Amino acid sequence: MAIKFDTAAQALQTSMDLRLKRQSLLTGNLVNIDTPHYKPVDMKFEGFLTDAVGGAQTSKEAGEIETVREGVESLDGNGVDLDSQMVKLSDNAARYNVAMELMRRKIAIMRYATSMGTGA
Amino acid sequence: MSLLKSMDIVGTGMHAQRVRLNLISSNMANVNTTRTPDGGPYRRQDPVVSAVSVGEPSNPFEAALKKVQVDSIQEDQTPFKQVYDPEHPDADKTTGMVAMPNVNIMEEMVNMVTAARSYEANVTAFEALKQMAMKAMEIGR
Repeated sequence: MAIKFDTAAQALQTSMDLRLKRQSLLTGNLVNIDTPHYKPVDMKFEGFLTDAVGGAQTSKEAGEIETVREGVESLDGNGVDLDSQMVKLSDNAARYNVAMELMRRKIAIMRYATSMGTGA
Repeated sequence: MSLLKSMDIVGTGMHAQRVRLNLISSNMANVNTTRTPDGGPYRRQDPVVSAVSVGEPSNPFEAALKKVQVDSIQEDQTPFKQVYDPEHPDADKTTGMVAMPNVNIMEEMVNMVTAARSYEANVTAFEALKQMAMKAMEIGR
């Protein structure tokens, strides 16, 4: 199946929406690094995008939220691991930026087409 | 859901770590203070923080999203250190013992370093969010 502009744009939009939500969740974990009994949360959505591109499903239902276990809990019952949070945070931000860049290029291509190839 | 909301959450994290650092400075500055307005030596202070949901609890995403809140400042109730120093103005006249604050400099130093690192982690998270916002603004360019 050929991916139409619209389908791909929708997939990118879904991706960016979820990445942004995940970024907030990870940020929430990070600010609670000293809160007793706080358990880190994360969103699972790898694999979901294939569905979006296949046209089966779009954004809203995805991104189930789950409590995750990262290594050992500290004595106050806090389960946040600084290093793994920072890795997730920058990984997620990079993926968001990739989706944004692709979107920007898609729009640039469309603009080129509407200019009848003059690039103006 | 917006980037600005996430930035607010990072703001609460930076605030909490700053409160912690301020209290640590206060504890270290008063390591030898034997007189306070409440009477007696200085007591070590610690912030009490809790995770608070932002937005309505019916939405699973917003319920899982937690900011941090400084609930109160608690005084450490461990007993004061007793030091023998008969010349001290606040020494017990019969025994010569002085009650000194329950502040342990080593402990404060360790807490200071972890608070500073946590603060830096929050700053990094903020930078990432800012970069995402800038990228979003580039989209029509």
